[in-house]
Amino acid sequence: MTAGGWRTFIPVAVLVAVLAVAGYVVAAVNEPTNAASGETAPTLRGEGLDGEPLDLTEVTADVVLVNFWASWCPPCEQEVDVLLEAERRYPDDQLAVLGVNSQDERGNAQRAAEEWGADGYRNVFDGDGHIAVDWGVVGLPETFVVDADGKVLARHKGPVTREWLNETLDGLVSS
Amino acid sequence: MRRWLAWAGMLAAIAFAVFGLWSAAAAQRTTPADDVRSVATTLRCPTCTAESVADSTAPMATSMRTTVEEKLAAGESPDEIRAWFVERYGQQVLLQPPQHGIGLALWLLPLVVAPATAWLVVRARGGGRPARWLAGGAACTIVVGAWFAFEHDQWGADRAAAAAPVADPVGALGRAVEETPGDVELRLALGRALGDSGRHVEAAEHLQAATRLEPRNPSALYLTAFSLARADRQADAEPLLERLLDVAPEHAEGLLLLGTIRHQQGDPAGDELLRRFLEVAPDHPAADQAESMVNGDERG
Repeated sequence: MTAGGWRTFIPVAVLVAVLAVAGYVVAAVNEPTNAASGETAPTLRGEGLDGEPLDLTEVTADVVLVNFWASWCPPCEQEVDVLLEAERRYPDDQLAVLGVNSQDERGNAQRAAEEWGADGYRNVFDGDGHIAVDWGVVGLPETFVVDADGKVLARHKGPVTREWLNETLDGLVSS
Repeated sequence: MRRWLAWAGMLAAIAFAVFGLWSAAAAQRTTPADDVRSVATTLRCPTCTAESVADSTAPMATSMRTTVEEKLAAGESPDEIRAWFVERYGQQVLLQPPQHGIGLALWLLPLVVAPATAWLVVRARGGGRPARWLAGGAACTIVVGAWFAFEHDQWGADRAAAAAPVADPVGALGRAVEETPGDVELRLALGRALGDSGRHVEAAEHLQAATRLEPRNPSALYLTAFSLARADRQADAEPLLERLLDVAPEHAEGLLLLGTIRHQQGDPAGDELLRRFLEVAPDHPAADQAESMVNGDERG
């Protein structure tokens, strides 16, 4: 190849390489498509901590807060009061809290629910964490806001705060 | 000389190809656990830093491995399983670039660039047939080597796992706790190990988790209270010690610790607890110290 040819080839090769890397990076930072805002929530069905069967589709509130937690997770304890407050503030047909106790042991979960007050709302037991994986949960705690049509309206990683909850529920439910 | 180099290049390419085919054939003879690991190695643990689902001990990685196992048992292919995870966690869940779309272009790029470069080099130098053979051999070697790396990328992860430190009890216990976060004994062992290393704040955190798991476990209550006291959090230690003495009224160390804390606060109830300690454990190594506190010898 002549010197002129090299001068053309090298920039083209560099450009192709840069585009390939940039394309991959863009693809890699894409948000997940499932359990993200606007997507249909995955199935949530299982046995409650109390042994009774539970199914998200049978919860008749306009908005459901689906909260993933575990007894071994200290931040999960911090948010229980905030979730309880929300459930008490709104009528049952407007808002419901549905806990999903994940990656846990049933006895420990029952004790923690009782001690923390998380037994103030219904909880599905997800001992092996398969529901959490199906929902694309990254770490505990994590909370999803789901509407009556089963659409995920919002999600929050980490302990839920009053500010986030008020801002998110504003316009969705009326207190 | 050039001919020998050309033959050497071709032999290297053939050797790579044979080794690759042999490895691919060997990969067919796998157990279900191997299959789970093979898929899990290509998935990134979402709660970890640059760690695969296969190697991580995080609870989320454990759940993801279980899901992989269930899906393989249900007859889903590795590609289908990876696609399922991508739907939930996005492309970033893949440790390797996807083998389609722009990701495929990234994989194919070196395979195209290597022969093209070799061809250009030969043309630029104007070499004869031996040089072309040499360049061809080198290009084949690169292509087969790249394919081999593509197929067997998980070897890197295996090496990383093999190189993980095993002589670090705190690290090993930490990983074990992540694996089975509900195991109280493991939490207690980790708390003790951290306390022994002088990391009392971290020890207290794990021991507090143990007391949440078993709120009336005397060992958990005492060790947690002890760690909190060592971390200068006597106010947090007191309710645990009260609960401990409610569960086990003659727990000598509990009496000693709560008695000492209250004594240092100037609370007469502390001396009463220390007297009970002396009654329960008169031969305890700390008995002399407790007696001094009760008699007021150590003050001033």
